[in-house]
Amino acid sequence: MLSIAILTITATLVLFLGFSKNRDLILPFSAAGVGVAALCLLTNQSLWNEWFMNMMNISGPSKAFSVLILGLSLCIIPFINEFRRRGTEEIADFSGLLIFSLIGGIMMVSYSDLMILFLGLEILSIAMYILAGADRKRLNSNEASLKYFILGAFASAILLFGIALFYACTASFRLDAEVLQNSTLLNLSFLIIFSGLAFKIALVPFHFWAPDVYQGTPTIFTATMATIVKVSAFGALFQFISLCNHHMTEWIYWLLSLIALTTIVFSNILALQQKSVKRMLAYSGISQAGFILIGFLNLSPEKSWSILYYLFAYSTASLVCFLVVHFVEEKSFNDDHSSFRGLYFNNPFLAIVMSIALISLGGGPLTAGFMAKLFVLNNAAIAGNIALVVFALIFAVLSLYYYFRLINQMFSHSNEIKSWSIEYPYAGILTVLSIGTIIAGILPNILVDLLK
Amino acid sequence: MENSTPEIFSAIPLTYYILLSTALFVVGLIGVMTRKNIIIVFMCIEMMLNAANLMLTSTSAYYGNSGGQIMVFFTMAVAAAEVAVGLAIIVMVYKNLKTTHIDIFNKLKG
Repeated sequence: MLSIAILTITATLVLFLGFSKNRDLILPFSAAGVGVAALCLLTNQSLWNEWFMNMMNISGPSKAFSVLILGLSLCIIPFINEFRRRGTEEIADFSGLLIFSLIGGIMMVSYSDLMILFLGLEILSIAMYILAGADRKRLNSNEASLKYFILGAFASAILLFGIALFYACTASFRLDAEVLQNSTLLNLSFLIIFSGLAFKIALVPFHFWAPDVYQGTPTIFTATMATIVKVSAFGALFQFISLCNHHMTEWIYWLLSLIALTTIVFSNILALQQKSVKRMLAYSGISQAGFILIGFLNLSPEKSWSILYYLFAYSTASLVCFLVVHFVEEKSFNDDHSSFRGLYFNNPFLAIVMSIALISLGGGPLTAGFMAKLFVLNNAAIAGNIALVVFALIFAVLSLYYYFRLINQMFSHSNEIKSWSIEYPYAGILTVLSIGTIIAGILPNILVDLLK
Repeated sequence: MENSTPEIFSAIPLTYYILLSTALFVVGLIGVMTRKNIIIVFMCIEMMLNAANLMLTSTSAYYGNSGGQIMVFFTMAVAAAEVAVGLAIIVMVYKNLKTTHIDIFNKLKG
């Protein structure tokens, strides 16, 4: 509770700071607020852990999810300053909205009452709809914002209907409530709630918005969508499945594995054909979501760390990718594969961190992505889903093709060599994220013990 | 839960409310998928939210449990926030494109 209170106060003050002429204070202040909130989460054990009559409960996995969300946002906030270079001065609004969306994210990963899930989802989404349209004068950003808004609101309405059906069956919003009505209706409500969440995560039947929205949104907020929103939505799904396990019948798990399979197959095939790197990363994010979903198939509290580990590996790597894309886009005004040509000779640092991140996304050895895929697929294999594991492995290998195509572009000579520079704070954040990826890959035990 | 079902439910059974709200929801769902004007699509989304609200209020009255009614208040507040943001986005788009037709949005493609 303390961390949510701190975030609310920070966000409100940040919005007021936007009135002052001096805008240099805004981002350090926001980052400090988020940092303090994260520290509160990490340190305070007992103070206000159960709130609103136990409708929310930060403990165990939900604490890890929340800390991951706050940590990722700490890496994103400094980059908001990039908007000033383009002549957009409303960074207080962007920073404030980003912090408000974190509150929604924390609510989504720690609810035990569906009312909180709905409110958290809306707090997160409404802020993100605005951030998607942050570049008001660019038509692409407008289009992305509108598409995200229409489909996001559609998904929330579906989720709300699922919650209403759940309430009709149990007369309560609590996930551990006893069932009053017949359980077919209850399973239908699970199905509807699950589709609402799948929309937010962008799993395959509900993924069509993601590439468009990712491409049109200003890249810094694309990074937010690909990391913070996805982690929150997976946290919500995790909480939902782990608390509702006893109500669910076998076919829900069949459905989950079917969705995971189609997600992995379709997204990887579609990613192969993309010219725009942002779209390719969007499809790659969808395919990673499919892999994470495999981790949900035999969910038990002891195994939750493999999902968290995967989310950590995915979100650090894709954050690095999107931030590098931001710099390339800034210099060459588009995000096609061709604009990455010769990146190594323009700025070796960017090319190297991007390669590490791409290898990690592809599941190359010695990176976090490899261990993450190993843990998740190992769990699935133990549970007996051998066919699923084989398919996932085939498409993981296929995915290496499009990651390495981009790496190949970056390291091949281009006609003209421009030397691009990058400021030290940004380089520092990218370095920290890349080192995190490698350390988590070489010594996974450190992170796994921490998550356990 | 003690059986104190309100009088009204003997005249109009709960199933009818559930069927009505499901029908409203489906109408909204089809509207979102087929309509071409952003404003109409937006209205259909609101209809889906209200279908859920109807189900919440009727079941809440049926069970004599106030949770559903409270949820409806929250939903209405959230829907108001969503309308504010949504209309702002539509106005922003309209300023740039002078149209609210959905087919105009095909710039982002693979």
